Amino acid sequence: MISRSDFWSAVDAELDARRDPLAHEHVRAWLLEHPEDALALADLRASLRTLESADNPLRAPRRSRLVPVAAAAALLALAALGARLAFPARSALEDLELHPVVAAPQLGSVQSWQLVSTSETPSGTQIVRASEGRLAVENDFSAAGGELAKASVIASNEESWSPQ
Amino acid sequence: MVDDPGESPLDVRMSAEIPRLRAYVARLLGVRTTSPDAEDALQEVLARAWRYRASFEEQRALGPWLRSTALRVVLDRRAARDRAPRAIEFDPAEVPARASVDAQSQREQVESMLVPLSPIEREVLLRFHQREESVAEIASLLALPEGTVKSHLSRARHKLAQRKEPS
Repeated sequence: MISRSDFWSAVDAELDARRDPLAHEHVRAWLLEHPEDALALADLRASLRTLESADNPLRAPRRSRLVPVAAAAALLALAALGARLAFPARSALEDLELHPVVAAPQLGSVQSWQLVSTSETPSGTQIVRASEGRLAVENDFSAAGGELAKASVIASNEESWSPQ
Repeated sequence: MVDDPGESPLDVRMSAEIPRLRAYVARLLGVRTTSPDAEDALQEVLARAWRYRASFEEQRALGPWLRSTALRVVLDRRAARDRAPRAIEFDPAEVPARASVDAQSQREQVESMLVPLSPIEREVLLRFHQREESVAEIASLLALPEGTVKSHLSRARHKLAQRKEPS
């Protein structure tokens, strides 16, 4: 007949071998003779089942699911940056030439044009007039003595100018 | 049953034992008292006790006799299941009683059951039963002889077995 110590040794041996102690003949025989040990063994088995199905406190903390997403986003950003450096952005003018959004104007339909730019400062006014074959700049500044200084520069295809 | 005028004294005594017997059977099976497995086993225990009632001496305590019968029923059911061909691996009787408990509650249970263990017992127990590392692996990782690992495991299990489970 085995002793209680032998009974628990048999239980340990079965558990060490990852077998169910209740399948062991000596364990079953002992329990039938000593039912008081049945509950202790049942409690041990229940505790071990709880342990086996619970989260593992020894396991390294799981990486967040955000990590792979953040890594993918970082890779995408790096790829975009690389592409940007390898292929610098074109200027708006270049883009317009490559991808015109309006049809080229028919120059024959333009009869005449003039561009006037006026710059006003505390000391005076400057007016620039540009038209086909002609550029005129008019300065209208106050002179140091309070006299009005007025000058016009006209440049045209005829290379003429007339100071006033 | 109790009010039946045809009942024998043993009937009445057995009826009074049923709640405790149900809890005992459920604990042996590792299932809830409301589990169908506990109910099936309880019915079998009562049927077997009634069949062998002639062997019961009236002057003896009924509780231990019924619990002994319950243990035989549980072991017999276990043996019958082991002998049966394993057509289906899943067995509801093997589902832990607290399988449906949420993870937080389960963690608390594990923490409370590990309290009486020493740090080395805790580590060895968790490595073996939770991480499923072998005794040899644990011995190698912790630089301990395998015999020492087995001793720590045994002591840890003994403490778990002595721990009173809430019914």
